Amino acid sequence: MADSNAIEKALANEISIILGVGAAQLKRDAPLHSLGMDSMSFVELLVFIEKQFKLNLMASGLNKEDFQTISSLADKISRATAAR
Amino acid sequence: MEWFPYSQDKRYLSGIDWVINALDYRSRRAVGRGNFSQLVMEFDRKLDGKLFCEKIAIFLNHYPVMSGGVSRDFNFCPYWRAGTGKRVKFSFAQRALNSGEEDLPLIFAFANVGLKPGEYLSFFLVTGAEKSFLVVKFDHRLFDAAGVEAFLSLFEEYCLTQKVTPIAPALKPGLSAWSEKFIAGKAVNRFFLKLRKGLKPITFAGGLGQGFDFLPLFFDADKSAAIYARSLSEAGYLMFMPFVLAKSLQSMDKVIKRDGDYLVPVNVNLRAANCAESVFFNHLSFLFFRVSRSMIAATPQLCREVASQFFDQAKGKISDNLAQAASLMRILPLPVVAALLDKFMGGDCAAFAFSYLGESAFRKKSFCGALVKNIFHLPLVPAKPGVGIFFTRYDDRLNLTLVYAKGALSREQAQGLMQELKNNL
Repeated sequence: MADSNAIEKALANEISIILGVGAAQLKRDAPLHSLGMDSMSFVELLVFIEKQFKLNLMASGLNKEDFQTISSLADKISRATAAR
Repeated sequence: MEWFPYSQDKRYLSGIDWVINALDYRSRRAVGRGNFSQLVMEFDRKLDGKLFCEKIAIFLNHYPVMSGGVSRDFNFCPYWRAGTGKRVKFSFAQRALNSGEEDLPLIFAFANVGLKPGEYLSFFLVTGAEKSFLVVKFDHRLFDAAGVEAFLSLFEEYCLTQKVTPIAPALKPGLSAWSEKFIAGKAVNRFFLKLRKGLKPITFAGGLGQGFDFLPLFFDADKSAAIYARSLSEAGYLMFMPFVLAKSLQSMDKVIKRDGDYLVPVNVNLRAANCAESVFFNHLSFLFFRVSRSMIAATPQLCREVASQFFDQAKGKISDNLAQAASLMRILPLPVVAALLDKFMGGDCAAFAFSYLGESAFRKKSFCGALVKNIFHLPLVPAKPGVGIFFTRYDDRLNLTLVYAKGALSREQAQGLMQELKNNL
């Protein structure tokens, strides 16, 4: 299984770039929408995930539980990459 | 390479700014008005018009960009020259509601009046016994919708603290990396050729009249929460924009049947959160959705299709490429850019314009001592497509405005469309 912490760090870094805020300011257990993400920024994140981890999460259904926080999203990516 | 000392009074226009200037030109030619919009603030009490007027006059003069105008530089790049030292001109009018008189028709009438030459802001205060509305008319060449919300937030901050947030809306001319711009232009060209294929230009049988009609719809907190919950189950997490676009397409198809596929341009906000430098000018780009009529009936299928096109365009960097390619058009005069928008970018084939702004950039609860009950927008829509459906949100409440150029829809069609949207959301 891929390192969930490394995935979490990569996600936090990308979200900080998309939202224009410092990575340290991002709470990893806060819902993505509360960080200021909207449809546009979320789709940009999905594009990053596809490029970085070769996963098309758009096609897998966008359940709130999986995308709720940076941590839960990192777990999902970690599980999905391990299952390949 | 920064070898040339560019003046601080100059703000070079981006490609998107030049497109907005072309829309302004086209709008003046087609319907006799520039490309402006209105933001409406509703208050719980009567706002003091005299006090507001005094404060805003002082505040505006801290921003000389607002008394400027467009020029062309020696390198042919269009720029905005700040009117340093000149007083910022603006209009203010106030009207008290008569007993039993409705507020919205007065506001709609104001929304149909153009800005005076040299003015980029105009205010209209409608006052009742225990309520008031401040209508802020703004020129799109200087502000986009989120920009004017952020500007009003700065004004409220100034009223509370007497501190002015300095903004230097600097932008270099961007006259480098030509090969990247041409590659972006090629990608955009291919995208539009595919997008437009087989689409017929939309025509209005009786021609367009002068002016616009507006039909707003306000959702309370409970209904707004219910709509968000439905978007979650039907479209997925953070897929609210695709959800409301899908619902708008379904409503449009039910009431105004059009032949062939639907083409919808959607404007998207490109600014980073809390970016004070992006208050002035336009920080947006466009996405384009083409949906076959056969897909419209089933909501989950339609939401998936819209979301999939959204993803593909983000992956293909369409909005970034568009912004890059538009910068190449800055050398062209406005009539040529306006013609290109119609003939090349599908402006004449679009079924309606659409946007979802997200939570308002005006993050305060009060304004000049009054509690803000709601904020909504009354934008004008380009002469083609002539119809626009716009969603905004303030304090977690959703607002919807249907705007149409007179002649683009009949009153019955417009009311039917609003009813359908109400039932559908």
